[in-house]
Amino acid sequence: MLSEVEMVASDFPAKWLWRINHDYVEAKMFLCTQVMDEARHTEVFRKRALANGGGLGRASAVVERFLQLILDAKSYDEGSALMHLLGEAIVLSLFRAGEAIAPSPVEQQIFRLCMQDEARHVAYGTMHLRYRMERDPLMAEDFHAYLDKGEEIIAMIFATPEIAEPTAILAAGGIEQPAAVGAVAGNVMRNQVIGEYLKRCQHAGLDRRGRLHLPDILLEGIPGAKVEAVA
Amino acid sequence: MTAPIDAPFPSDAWFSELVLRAVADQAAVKRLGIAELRFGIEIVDAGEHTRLFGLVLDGYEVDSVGEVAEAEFAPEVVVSGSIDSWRQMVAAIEEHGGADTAHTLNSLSIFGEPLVVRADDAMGHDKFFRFMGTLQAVFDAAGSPATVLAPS
Repeated sequence: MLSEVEMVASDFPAKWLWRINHDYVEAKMFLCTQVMDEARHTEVFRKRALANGGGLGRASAVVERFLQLILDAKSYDEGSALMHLLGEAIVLSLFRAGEAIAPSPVEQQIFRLCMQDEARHVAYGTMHLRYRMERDPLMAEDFHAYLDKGEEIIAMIFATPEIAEPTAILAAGGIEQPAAVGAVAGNVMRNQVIGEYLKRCQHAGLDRRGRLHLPDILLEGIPGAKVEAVA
Repeated sequence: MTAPIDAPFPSDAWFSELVLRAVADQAAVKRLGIAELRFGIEIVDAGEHTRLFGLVLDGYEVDSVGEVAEAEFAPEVVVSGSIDSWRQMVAAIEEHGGADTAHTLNSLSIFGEPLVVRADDAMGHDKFFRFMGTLQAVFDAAGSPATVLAPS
């Protein structure tokens, strides 16, 4: 899955690069670095899957739906919001968990360096959204609509066994931990992802509190996430 | 030869020596890439008294600014924890020559305990992840060979 996600994370900026005016040369150059980053991630996770005996897994339908949403985005703004702000935030958390339970120094280094890259991409996405919101606050509703669509799929991803189970195992620190520990640890991680995502949106000037398209059960314990918690 | 930093933890002298060890291998520093961060290390003692030590990452440079007042230093992100937690981390680094999986900055803070990451805004918070490789390399230097230079 990681390898597949990274492929699309490389394809998306590459798709839009040539369409962006050269007046935005810094942004274009940053996207070039992202293409390179994601290519390295694709390579390292593919090699890791092939080398560890497990081999490449099967693509998950719900993950592919989310990736398709990114690739088929009608505008760069839409794709960037979905990928940089929403998708990569989840991947960043997965990499944090990977680093925290890495079984070898090599894997620890892989996850730590990939974590750095993802955090840079998430920061770029946050600042891109902020830039757009500062110059055209009327775009807020457009961005809300993009993220509404993305969150609906993210809610399904959180409930997908091939995502939820490995996340719980990673978060708990291995399969030897009781399932209940894994479930709790997985919930803590998920809450962290949603809480941090809300803060990034807020920093960018897009208040998603009370507008999240996620089931209430996923919002328990996240300050300001539920409608009634908004003043 | 590996030797624990010859200064009490936490202290200005300890962090100064840590940074000297961390930047001793310039090639390794440059491999990690440039970083821009004002990083606070908050240490809470048994009496709930807190002390804050500052590190500044600027390009390929790493500076220890010693014990600081938070308002004056204005850290972009602070990692906070009890003195016992920090000492356990340092002891593990000294024992293994670098943090083992259970004692990295990330693994100790991923669930908000024993270390907590706090920042005034999302960008500052994310900088902790953006420069994790450099920050961990700095702390891992506590398990590296002692420097021959005395802190200036």
